[in-house]
Amino acid sequence: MFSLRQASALAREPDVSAVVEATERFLASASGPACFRQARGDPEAAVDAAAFGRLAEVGLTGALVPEDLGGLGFPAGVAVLLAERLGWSLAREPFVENLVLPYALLLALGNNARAHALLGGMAKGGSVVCVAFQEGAFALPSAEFPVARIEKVGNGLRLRGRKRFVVGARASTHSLVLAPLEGEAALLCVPSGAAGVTRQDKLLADGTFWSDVEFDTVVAEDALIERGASCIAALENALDVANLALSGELYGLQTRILEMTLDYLKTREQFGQPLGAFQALQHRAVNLYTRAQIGRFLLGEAVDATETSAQAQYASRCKARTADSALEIAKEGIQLHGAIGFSDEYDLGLYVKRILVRSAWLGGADFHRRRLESFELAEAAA
Amino acid sequence: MNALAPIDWNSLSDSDFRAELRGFIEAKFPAHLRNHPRRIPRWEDTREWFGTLSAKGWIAPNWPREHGGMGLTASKLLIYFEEVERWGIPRLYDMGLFMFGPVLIRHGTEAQKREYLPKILSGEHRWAQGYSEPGAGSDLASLRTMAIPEDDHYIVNGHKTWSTFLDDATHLFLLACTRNEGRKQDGISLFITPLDVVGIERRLITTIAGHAELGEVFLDNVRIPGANMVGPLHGGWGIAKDLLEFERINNGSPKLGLYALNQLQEYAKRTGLAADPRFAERFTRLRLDLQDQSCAYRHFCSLLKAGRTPGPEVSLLKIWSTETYQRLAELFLEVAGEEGVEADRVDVPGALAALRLYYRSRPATIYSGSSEVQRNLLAKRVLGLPAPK
Repeated sequence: MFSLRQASALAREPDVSAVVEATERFLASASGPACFRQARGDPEAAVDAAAFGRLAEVGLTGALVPEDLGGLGFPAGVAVLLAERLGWSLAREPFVENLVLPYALLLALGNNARAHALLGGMAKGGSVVCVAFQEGAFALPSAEFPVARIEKVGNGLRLRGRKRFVVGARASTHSLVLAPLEGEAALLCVPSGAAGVTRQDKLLADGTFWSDVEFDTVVAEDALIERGASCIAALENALDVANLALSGELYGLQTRILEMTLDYLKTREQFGQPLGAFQALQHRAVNLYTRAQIGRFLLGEAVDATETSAQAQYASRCKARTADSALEIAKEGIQLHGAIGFSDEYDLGLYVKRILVRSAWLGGADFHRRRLESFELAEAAA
Repeated sequence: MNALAPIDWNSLSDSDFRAELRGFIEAKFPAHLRNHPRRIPRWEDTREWFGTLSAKGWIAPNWPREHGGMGLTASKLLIYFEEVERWGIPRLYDMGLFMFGPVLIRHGTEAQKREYLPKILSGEHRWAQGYSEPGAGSDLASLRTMAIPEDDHYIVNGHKTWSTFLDDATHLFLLACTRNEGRKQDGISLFITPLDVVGIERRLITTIAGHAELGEVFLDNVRIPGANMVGPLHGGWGIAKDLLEFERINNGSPKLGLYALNQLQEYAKRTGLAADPRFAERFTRLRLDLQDQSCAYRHFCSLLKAGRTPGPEVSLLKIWSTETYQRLAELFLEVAGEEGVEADRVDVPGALAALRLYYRSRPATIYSGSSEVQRNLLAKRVLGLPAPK
């Protein structure tokens, strides 16, 4: 009923099906709501080196990495399909933050030897990378950063500044940091353990963490991955891929809530009837189903259109659509369950909170609708 | 262009196809018919344009090429609708093109196809639908029109209502009971008849927009030849549902909403409202609702094109499409303020009239199964929710 297979041609390709099914098996055996619940609020649970080993075994660490760099070479659309499965399973594995966003960023830099070397290490599961670019509420990247600065010093490059909302920082061996160097954007790869890198973890609604990271550190000159406008373009592209993957995750999360809610409506009896026999509730359930389906066919088209000129439009359309419908389905899921939906012991709340966090990250629905408005204005002016 | 060897329009690039359509429409469409005051102009008004499209081979974009259609893929079909709505072209007598024709192609006999399909394409036959009755609206299966066999004919008695296009239609396809026992749905057959035969009377119904585009049909001992049954005896319900699915896909195309969006956008540009961020926010939401609807529309069209039935899920498309259309019309009426409710603007050809769009959008959530019936269907047949005990 909610599968993306009918909505996307890429999803039906045999090698893509195979990696999605392998991921499903992995998630069924080693992930899910019980694991998610257990790890809530435990900052140590995020740094599970064994988890990345397991992810590497399934192929998730190398899914997007080109084959000549040791990966599987799938197009970015596959990240959306995988994220959808992770969302549905309520996986706590840091997929979008550590296995999609930094990959997409390095890949978008094109023929860059340092980026390729890093990607090779990431594909094997050895290096784990996060991207540190925000200093305040989400905005599209630009060369103008008010605080962080890179400057040349005698023995290398000195980075000073504070990056906020860095997702996946705890598990990372390196951060890709965007900051200006001599008036132009630059991308620096900073080891997490370097002297002068201080992380402050922030507990989120769903029991996971992101971090504010304070940098006052000197790194070698070869830590400079790229400089110039290409850094900004690559990051914007990577954020589109990450938002598409997040949309897949949000779609998976909301369809799971919808399934739980439909099951509940079919089995819970009140006034001598299953709740689902009441037309008022049936129609509300149909409204949620309809909203999810509009997202489904949009997402399917977007999966097939990654790495084309339509990707940016699709990314914002998908994020706006899936974040909106996920939040709607989350609150209606609570309401249609009644009191049990408000209780911590019932798993529904875990999904609801995950939706709150994932829809807020990298721009909510309103941000993306504004961006689409600006696309439209630019098109009308052209 | 040689009508016997039709072009494969799908082989053109999207932009070439769009340019071809746009050039033709802008050159040939009669300017005085743009943004027509009526939801469905009278046949006399649009027959010339119908004929122009028909001669060009462009009247049935959704039909297979072997039957005289354009055989467009879902994506090309969307471009076709976008260009038609962009230019404010009014609705044609299209019941045969979008509803009855596709059903006849699927379920009709060879003789029926030979007889009726070319005349749908030429506009000689204009179809109306005889489904609803005074006692059978949303509850269609409780219809009471009876068809009793006599020699090689059926004698049909009954009373149909809410038939759109009845003002200038020439033919009617109708559902009638052919058996009195068992489940009602298993005793219904589908018939076709000209409207000018002995025993048929029409009475037109004026809508709240002031147009007599709907009507009642009284059937008094009407003789319908057995050869005018479509599909098997007692098998009409399945075909009727099939037809409703075509109708729901057709109603799920973004063309209704596109027209409303274009009108509202034009109004916002002319009045300066487009620069108001609060308006822009609401407009963008609806624009995206419509744009994302196209993805679902393409999906259901591609099922159809692959020879698969769209299934009960297609109701979601009808709900989304018609409710989005109405929200656009309602936003237009709200921002139009006092001028929006001045009735004399409604009948000014070409005027951007919010009231007209408001009226025009009302029946969309009622016809071809009301939104409430669609929701019941989805709840039961797709979500598997239980019936009351």
